[in-house]
Order: sequence, then C-alpha cells, then structure tokens
Amino acid sequence: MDESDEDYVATNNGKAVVSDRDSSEDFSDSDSSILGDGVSKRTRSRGRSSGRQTRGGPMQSNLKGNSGGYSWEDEYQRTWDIVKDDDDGVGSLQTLVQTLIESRKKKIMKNPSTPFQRGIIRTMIVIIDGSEVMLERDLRPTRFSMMLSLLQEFILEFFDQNPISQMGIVMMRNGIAIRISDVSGSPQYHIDKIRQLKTKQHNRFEPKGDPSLQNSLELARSLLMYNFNNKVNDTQNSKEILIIFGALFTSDPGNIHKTIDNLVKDDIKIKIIGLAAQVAICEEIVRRTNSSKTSSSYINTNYGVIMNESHFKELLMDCVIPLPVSEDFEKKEKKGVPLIKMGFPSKIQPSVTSNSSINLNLPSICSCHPDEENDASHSKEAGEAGNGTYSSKKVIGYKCPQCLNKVCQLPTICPICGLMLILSTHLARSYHHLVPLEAYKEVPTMEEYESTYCYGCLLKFPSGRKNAQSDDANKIESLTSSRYRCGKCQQDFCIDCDVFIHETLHNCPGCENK
Amino acid sequence: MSSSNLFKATVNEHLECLPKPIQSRLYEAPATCLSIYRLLPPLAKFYIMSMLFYEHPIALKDMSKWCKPTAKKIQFEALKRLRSLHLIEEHNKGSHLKLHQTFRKNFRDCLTGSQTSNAFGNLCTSPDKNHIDVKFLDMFASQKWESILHFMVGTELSVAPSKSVLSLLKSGGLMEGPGTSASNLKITNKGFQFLLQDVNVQIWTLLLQYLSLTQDLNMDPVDVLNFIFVLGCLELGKSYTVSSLSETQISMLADLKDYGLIYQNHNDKERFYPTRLATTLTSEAAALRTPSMALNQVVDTANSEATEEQMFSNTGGSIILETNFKIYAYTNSPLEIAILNLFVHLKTRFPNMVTGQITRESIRKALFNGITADQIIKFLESHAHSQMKQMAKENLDKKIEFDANNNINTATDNQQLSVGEFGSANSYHKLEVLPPTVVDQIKLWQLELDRIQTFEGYLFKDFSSQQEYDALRSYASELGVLLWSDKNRKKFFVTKDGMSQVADFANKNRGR
Amino acid sequence: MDAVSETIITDQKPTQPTVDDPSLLTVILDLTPHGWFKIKHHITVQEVTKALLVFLNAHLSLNNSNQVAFIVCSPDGAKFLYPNPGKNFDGIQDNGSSKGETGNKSSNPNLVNTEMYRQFRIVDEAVLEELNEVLKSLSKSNSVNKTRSTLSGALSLALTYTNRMLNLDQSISTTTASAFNATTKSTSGTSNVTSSGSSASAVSTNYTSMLSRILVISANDDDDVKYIPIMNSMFAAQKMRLPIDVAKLGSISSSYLQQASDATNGIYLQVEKPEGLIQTLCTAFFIESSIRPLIILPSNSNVSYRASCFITGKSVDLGYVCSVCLCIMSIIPTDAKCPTCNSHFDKSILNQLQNSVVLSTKRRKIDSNGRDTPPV
Repeated sequence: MDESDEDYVATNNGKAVVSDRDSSEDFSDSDSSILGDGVSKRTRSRGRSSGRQTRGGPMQSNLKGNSGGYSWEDEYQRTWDIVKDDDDGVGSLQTLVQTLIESRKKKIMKNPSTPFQRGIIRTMIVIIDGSEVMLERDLRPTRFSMMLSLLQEFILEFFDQNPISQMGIVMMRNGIAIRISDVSGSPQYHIDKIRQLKTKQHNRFEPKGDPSLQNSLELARSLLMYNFNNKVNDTQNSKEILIIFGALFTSDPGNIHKTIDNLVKDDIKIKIIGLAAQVAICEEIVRRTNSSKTSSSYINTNYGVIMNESHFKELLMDCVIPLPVSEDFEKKEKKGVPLIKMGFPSKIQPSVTSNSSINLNLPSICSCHPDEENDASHSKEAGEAGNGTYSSKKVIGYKCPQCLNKVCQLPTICPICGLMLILSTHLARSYHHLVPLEAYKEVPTMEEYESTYCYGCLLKFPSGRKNAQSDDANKIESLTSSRYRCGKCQQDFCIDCDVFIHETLHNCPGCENK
Repeated sequence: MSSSNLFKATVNEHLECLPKPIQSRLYEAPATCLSIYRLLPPLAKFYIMSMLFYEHPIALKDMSKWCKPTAKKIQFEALKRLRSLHLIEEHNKGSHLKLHQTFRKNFRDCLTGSQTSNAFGNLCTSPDKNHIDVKFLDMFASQKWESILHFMVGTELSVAPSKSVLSLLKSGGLMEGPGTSASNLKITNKGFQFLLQDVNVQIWTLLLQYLSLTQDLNMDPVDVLNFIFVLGCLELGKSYTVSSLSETQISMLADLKDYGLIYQNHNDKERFYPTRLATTLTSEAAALRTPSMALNQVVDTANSEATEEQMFSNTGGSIILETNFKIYAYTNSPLEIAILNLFVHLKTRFPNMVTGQITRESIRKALFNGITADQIIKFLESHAHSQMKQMAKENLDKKIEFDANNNINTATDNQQLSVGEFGSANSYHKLEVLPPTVVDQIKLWQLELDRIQTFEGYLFKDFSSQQEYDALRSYASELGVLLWSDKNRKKFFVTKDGMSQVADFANKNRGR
Repeated sequence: MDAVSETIITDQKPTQPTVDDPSLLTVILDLTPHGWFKIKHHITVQEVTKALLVFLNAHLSLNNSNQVAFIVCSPDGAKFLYPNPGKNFDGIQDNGSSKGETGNKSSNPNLVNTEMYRQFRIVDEAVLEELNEVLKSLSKSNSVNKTRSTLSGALSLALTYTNRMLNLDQSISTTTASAFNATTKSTSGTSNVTSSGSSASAVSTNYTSMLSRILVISANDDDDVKYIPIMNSMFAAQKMRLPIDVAKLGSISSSYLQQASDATNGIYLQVEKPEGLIQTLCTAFFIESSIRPLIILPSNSNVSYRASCFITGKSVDLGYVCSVCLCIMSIIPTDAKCPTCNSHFDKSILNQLQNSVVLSTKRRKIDSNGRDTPPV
C-alpha cells in the first residue's frame, strides 16, 4: 500500500515539476533532512534515509507536493489536467523529453562525488533462517525463496563493494546449524551454493523445524576464528555476522548468554534483520556485540525488522556498506590505518603442446587443496549442480609472486608464505570511487553552439534555434541544448554518453585525451 | 513433400548446382566473389578469410582442430558448402585444402583495392539532366514490384506488368492459364507461396527463373549472374554507364527495369540507376529485413502521404496475433490483405485494419494450397507489429532472468560471472514473437496432413563389434547426419549427405 | 520392450544457422612514437596501416551492414579517423560531383584506387587521409611527453561510440536518438547522403541486434599508462560484454592490455614478428563474436595480473595496499601517509613490514613458450 501510494505521487510530481528543476532539488534536500531527524524513527528511519540517499530517485521528493506542502494536502489533481498541451502539440512532447532527461540526470546523481572511504577488510558470516516459519507466504512466493533471491543480489553487491572481503553462509534448520558455504572470497561460489539451495528446497534443505541461534552463532564463531587462526592479517579484519531471522523464538541446547559473552570477547559484530517482529534476545545480541556508548542508535542500525519487501532489500543492502569505524576510532586514529602487503599473482595455465593449437589442459596440484580426495568430492558436488566451474578452476592457477606457489582461487591468503593474494582487478573495480567523475553541466540553450557533434559518440547535436525570438519565452525554457559539458576538458557530450560515462565508464574521454 | 523443397532454389543452392567450369568463370569477377562470400555462413567466411593470405595449402586435420568439438556439425556444414561451391579444393590427396585459385586472386584484389577497373560498375561522370534522387528510385522500385505482386493476387490495376514479366511468372509456374495475356492468368499454389516470401527471396526466385530462361535464349549464364551480382554491389542513387556493359547485359537492362531493379530514363539510354531492390540483393537474412522494411515504408508513404515521422514510427510490421488465434492487421494494402486471406479467416474490415481468426479450416486451406506452416509462421513473424516484438523482448528478458535465478540450463555459461558471460544465454532462449500456442498449433495442423516423413539415406548394419558400432554411431551423430539408430540390433541410418563422410570414417577405422 | 527403448530417432533439424548479425569493429591504433621506433626494423606504421585497411575491408565484406570505426591515439590525444562526420568522404559521388572527384584525386592522387568497392573506399580514404594528418602534426609537435599514451582516452571513445551503436536498439527510450533521426533525416534531404552512409543505415537497422568488438594495436612497451582509466574502461567493456582483442607488437607484453583482453574474453596475441601481420589479423583476429563459441580461441593462458603503483606508476606484482582506499604502493611512503586518502599508517605494522625482506619487484620474464600459436 505504501508503495502504490508513492508511485502515484512520483508520477504526479514528475510531471508537475518538469519546468523548474532547481526547485525540485531543493525539496529533495529539505526532505532528506526532515526524514533524518523526522518522526518515524524506529527501525525504519535509518534504512529509509540512507537507502533513499543512495538511490536518490524521485522517491525522495515524493512526500512533498508541488507547492511545498505534503502531497495529500495539495488540491486533487487529475493526471490529464497536469499534462498541458501546447497549441501545436509539440510542447507536450518536449516536456516529456525534458522529464526523461531529468530522470536520467537524477539517476547519475546517485554516484557520490566525494571520495568513498573504504572500511577495513571484512569477513562476514551470513546466518539464514531455514526453520519452518520461513515457509510463511507473507513475502512472495515464500519468505525463504524471497530471502534467497535477495541474498544473491546481496552477495554480488557485497563483493563489488568489498573486493577483498570474505563471506560464509550458515543456515539454521531443524535445531541445528548447517554450513551452506565455506568462508570464501568468490561471489560465484556463494551464488552457486545459494542456487543449489534453491533447487534442493524440496528435500534436504527444505525449511524445517526450529531455528537455533546458539548453534548457528557458535558455528559462525568457529568459522570466523578458524579463518583467523593463522594470524596473518588479524588486526585489520573485522569479523561480522549477519543474521536473517524469520522466527520469533530460538531453541537452544545451552545458555545463549554464554555464547554472547564469547562473541563479545572475540570482537565479533552482529547485525540482525528480523522478518516478523522484534525479539528480545536479538536485541540483546545486537546491543552486546556492538557495544558502544550510544547503544540506542546501534540497535536501530544493526537490528532492523522489515516492513515490506523493498524494506527488506534496503536493510540487506545497508549491510554492504562497511561498518562505521568502531568505538576505538580515536585509538585507531593514533595508531593509524594498517598497511597491507599484497601480492598480485599471474594467471598460469600449463599447456603441453606449444606448436599445435589445441590445448591440453592438464590439471595440476595446487597448494590450497592439497587433499586430493577432498578436492575430488568437492568438484563432484559442484558438478551435481550442473556447473563446471571447479574443474576449470583446477586447470587455471595463479602463481604467488613471493614463493611461486600455485593457488587455484583468488582472493586468498597464500598457504605457504601467508601473503595476501588478490587480482589487481579486484581492487581496481572500486577505484572509480577514489577519483569520482565530476558531473557534466548542461549547456544553456543558445542560438548557436560551438560543437556540432558529441565528443564521445559523434552524434550530431541539434543545431541552435535561429528563430528563437519568434517563439514565446516559455518554449525556449523547455527546450534543451542536448549538450552536456565536462567542466575540465570543455568537451560536449550527448545525454546518452553522459549517462554511460557516469554510470558505466567512469572516465571522461575528453579529459583522458588532454 | 513437394511443398517443402519447392523453393529450394534459393541463390546458394542454385550456385551450388552449377557445374564447376561455370563456377570458375563466375569467380573471375570480383563483384561476384564478394557477393558469393557474403552469402556464405559465418564459419565458412572465417575459413576463407584465414586461407586467403596464407600461401600454403592447409592440412585438413589442422583445420578440424580450430573448432571446438561441439561445433563439429556446423563445421561440417560450412565445409560442405565450400566444397560444393568449389571454393576449396583438395590438395595432396585430400589431406590438404586450398582455395580456388581464381577466387582467391580476385577476392584478394577486391580487398586490397587492386582489382581491374570496371569491376563494380562504371559511374556515369556527366551529370544527369533529370534529377533523380533516392526517393524517386524507391518509389519506382516499389511501384514496379508491387504491381507485379498485385497483379498476382488479382487486384484491379491500371497497368498490367509487361509481357516479359508475365511470361516469367508463367514459366516459373507461379501463374497459369492459356496464353500469356494478362486476363487469362490465374495464380497457382506456387504463386501463393511466392507471395509469402521475403521481398529478397521473391526477387531471387524471379531472377533465377530469368536465368533459366536466358539459357534457352543462348545468353551466357555467367554474364547474367555476374551482372546481377554487380548490381548488388552498386550504390543507390548513383548512375552508371551502359557503355561498359557487355551485349548480354545490355539486353538484360530492359527486363530488369520491368522488375524494378534498375531505373532507366526513356530518353537517356546511356545510363542506369540501380534501385534499392538491386543494391540489397546480396544482403543476408538479418540485414535483409531492412530493405524490405524500407520498401514497406516507401509504399506506405506512397499510399497515404505519411510524414517522415510516421515513417519512423511504423517500422516493422502491422500484424498483432493473440493467443486466442485472433489476428489484427493494421493495413489497408490490398496486397497484404490478400495474402492474409490465404490462411486467415478474415472477419471484419475497417478503414485502417482488418481482423480475423486463424482456424483449423483456414490453415488447412492454405496447407492444401501447398503453403507450409513454416512459411506462414515466418510471414507472421516478419510482419509482426513492433508492439509484439517489444513484448516478446520483455518476456525473453524475464525468462532469462528467471532461469538464471533458478539454475535452469544456464549454469554452464554462467560459470564465469566475473569474466563476463559471453556465451550469452541467447542460444538457449529464442525470441518468441508469436504466441507459442498459436505457432505450435499451426505446426500441429500441418502434421495432421503429413504423418509420414521420408528421408533418403543409407543403413549401416552388420557391425562386427559393439565398439565399432558405437564409434561410428557417435561420429555420425556428431556430424548431425544420424537419423535413426538401434543399439540392440546394431543398426543405424544416416542421411544421404553424410554417407560419404561416415563411410570414410568407417574405412579409416577399419584400416587401423 | 528393451529394443524399443534403445531405438533413437534423431530429430533431423537443419542446424540453426549461426546468426550473422551486423557487427561493429572498432580498431584502435596506438601511435605512440616510442614503441614504433623500437620495432622500426620489423614494420612501420604505414605497413601496419595497410594491413589494417585490408582487415577493415575484410570485416566490411562479411556483411552489408557491418560497420567499422578507426581511432588513433597519439601523445596529442585520441581521435576518430573514421567515422568522421565533420568531413564528407564520399565527396566523389556527391551531387553531381565530378568536381569533387578531380579535387580529391589531385590532392592525394594515389591514396586509394578509385575503382575500389565503394564501402571499402570511403573507409580507406578517410583513414589514410586523416592518418597522414595525424602523423604530420605528430612529427611537428615537439612535445616532451612523446611516450605518453592516451590509450585510455581511445578506449573511452571506442566505448562511448559502441554504446551509442548498441543503444540504437532501443531508440525509443533515448531522447536524443529521436533528435538524431530528425537531424539525419534533414541532412539526407538536403545533401543526398542516404542510407548507404553509415549513420543513416544504422538508424534504419535499429532493431537488429548489433555485435561489436574492439581491436587494439599497440607497440607501446611502457607500462606507464593511466592505470585507473584503463581499468575503468575494461570494466565498462566487461559490463557491455564487449571483447577487447589486443595485438601487441614488439617483444614485450603489456600486462594491462593482457588483463583487459583476459577480463573481457578477448584475444591477446603478442606479435613478435609483425611482418606477416595481415595473416595474423585475418586468422586470429578475424573471429567474429558470432562464431566465438565455436572456435578454439588463440589465447594467452599466462596472464600477468600486476597492478600499477600509485606513487611511481610502475607495475608491481608485490606491493602494499592502503586498507582505507585500496591504493597500491610499491614502496612504503616515507611520511607514513597514504598518498591518496591521507590516512596515517599504523606504525607498528610499518615497522613489521620494513623489517621483513622486501622482495625485488623486478619483473620476471614470462615464458613465451607457454603462448599458443594462432590457428594457421
């Protein structure tokens, strides 16, 4: 219901604000501030404001109508009244065009132009609920499959934003904790596992029984600790657990408070997303593990209960963003941020014949799977899912630049010399955050322009309107020059290039050629 | 049976059926080389290109290594095409392959720009007194061509097509009747099928028919073919001199003008203009929709003085087909309506559209007329309204997404998500423009009529061992020539084409 | 019963023809003088251009509606040679035009055989003429940064251009496309350049899906390229599923280009003996996207995934990474501060790192035997 309302307002607003774009942006600013310290704080407030900010869509200005009041205070406007037809019928098209451009421009704005501060390297265990309540159909089609499909998106996003982080997945089912996927840095591996889970829903992994928070927390804790037992990069890692909890109870074999104590001791941070309602023990877990002076705010950010599907997604995607630098921020500041030594290995593929064009791919032994049998069963399991990833992974290997040892999967920590190995492309994926591209400015409408073609794609720009004086002033305002100029290199681009450059490419072709 | 291979005479097959000496002579013209090259399947194109600048013959067994094992069938077909066109020749007792010498030389010259002059027609240098632009040529071409089609469906027309066209239609079996006078001719079943084809296929059907006629008239088929191919390489909107043409080719001009392929002014016999119909002759399937579309647009404008904007808006067809077998066609062209009438039970007619229903009876009527289900489906597909195409695209996207989420089918090519999914999922998912229910039903209706399919081929039996049987059988199925197999009785059946290959393989195996 | 179940009737379908969609080939020629100087005994720019022109022609000959684009990048910047909407290269045929023809001929009498197939000739003429201009200005300009590579700019241009060509598919949604239609329409009305020209035909073919790829030809041995922009281009290409093929002339392989082609499923070949470039182009680099799934691609299996140091600009395979902004350093900065995000590094960790032996970051020679030969 919430959704549909907003949609209506969105279209309504979008059309109405067409002519004065500046003012609409003003509104959005004031909106976000209102939301920030606004009325409906509870679990929702943070999810909202931050989620909206990152998305930056028209939704943000939704609540406000044209005249500055809330939209429901406005006079009722019929859609056909809003669309104004010009005498010759051209005007309506132009306003439409304008709206489209507006929306595109707004889409660009979602990229923050301030340098992105990256958090520390994270290791996250995701605990998902596989208990009977997950079969509930209040989320479509069921809570369980909804969660899984959202989780897939989450995994991709997580590794996109945190290229050198690692993740593992644990499921609570029938009173015990099941390890779904090992701690690994490969998004594809996790997604495959989730997919398997989805297809196997009807037998082994069908949601069943009661959830056990304690069991799963202990398993997650041991996974996290196991992963750090080599002490290599211990200090700069943050250990996190994300729980997606559908049930309202937990059936545990022992005293969960002891587990919590251990978690606190190990400095593991826990976030919980509840699918039904707030649960006291969850609140306690979150409060204790994220110990801080301002505890109340931590509950808000780290324990959220979903209101609807989109809110679920928002809460989940919030977990992508690295945790705020924790309470020992000051201490760290003195200490300084850690510097990590890393290796950028080369991909090697042993091929036997060098003169023939056929590749004989001989699998070779890698150091990360010394146990051959274990490995075989591993790949067999993967093969079951109709996936040949692992067999190919064994052929292709990466050579540690420090000890020349071969590993088969990146990113990882070299088992021989303990060097952190990563593909430089993993790091590079997020570099555009470091050097954000300035937004292009629209060239004001003029009678004549310097540029005839888009610098990027050679698209011919519409020429200036010579007879502009003859038209009424209204029209000129609604017209665009279709040119967007980079402030640095003074080159003009078309709207498509503008969008493409800011959303996908993150390079200004003009500046690159300077 | 006859219906399916009635229009087998497409260009390629015609070319393949030519005797080798004639093919060799064809390859002497660079334009022909280029055109024939364009008509080849992609893999064959790649083979030719890779051999073009390589001086030595290539070992057959090296060549087979270029392809992945899964692509063996496609490779087999590509090589078969090349062989039957004699573009590749065996060398060194069949172990090596090399390109046809003449073809190689001329195609190379064509690419490097060192071919003889006049290979792509001589531009007329002096300016034409009558200004002739592309629009005019399009109008001219569509008028000529439409008038032929209209004549075939029997629309009342002020001008009947010329005698030569009529005799061509008759000799091609598209129309029949006593004498060649326009009023006596009636469209045949073959003619109906003809109407359902793409414009390009139609033109080629007529041109090939024309070709066989010229042979009776003692015209040199190589000359004729060459000229047709040169036409395909000419440029729209430019005039070319007649003087550089051969005797035969000049005599062709008048006929080609009747088909709307070229335009020639009455007073100025020294120059001719190729029309869009001619310049797009050698474009293949995907690219080919463009000219026909362009033509449709021109026809539209001619009919209703549509503005340019409209021309852009109604690219694509006009037919909407619903899952309940109802069909709506936004057209008022008598031609299109007549074609629809062939297989649709038309119900109502409005100023700008007709509605109808596809029924078992209407389809059966068409099938009895010799039209195949595939032809109907293809016609509907190529004339589908852009709205339908858009919807199909959206559906496809949804489907791919759904399958990706549910791990169906796509796991293999999703394995390298981070490396980019280049083996795009499209190979598994086909764009379904028409509702699948209707398509299937039309096919089923056809199956009702012919329940027995016949194949020509060879039976392999009496294998000495299971291994031998297995090896040979799997080889045949890899090539895609296997039709039937029975494991217990150790027998299998292959198509006629695959016989020699499989037999070769069998002999080789036995020899070992 | 058994006998029946063992019988298989193979469905004898005609193999669905591999689609022959029109495709766009963007060639990027790196003109950085330094690299060409190194291989001057093997091949010159002119010879490479000749081979490339034949290659372009071959691409055009595949399909009527195939398109090409040609970009050069020199220290002065990257530039489109073709298409070049500012200049009209079919001047010969244009309205009446005998003047144009003679004019063109006299200015550059033997650039291209005028008898050549028109599609080829337009491209070839444009490329040659523009290339000559670029080379001239390059020899004139005495800029100090002769080794500077603007490959990233060229890649960006290629990507924006490709993006436009691909997006013509959904021309309804893009507002400028409609404007574009209008403009081309108006120009075609006046200057009589219609659909056989590249731009206009692209509009009319807008619902066939366009395939595209990029071919980079570079002789530049320096690793001193702009790392981030190249990486950004690479990821963009990856997202667009656009293979970047690389022909690296000379004896040293370029790790960034290698990474780019590896990440985009392109073909990377190091052409050490560029004399027979045309043959390499026509085999290894002639594999269209449509037949890529069928063919065993010549590929370099040993890809060096080295990164670039943010301080020195040199490539490293063992370095230090700031945990805040992930910037890569080959040396520990003296002031213990991250050069990019200015955060202070942890002293104790620094000490620990400095005490341990830092291996030399000298590049190891990659065994060239591991490389595959192209199918010949």
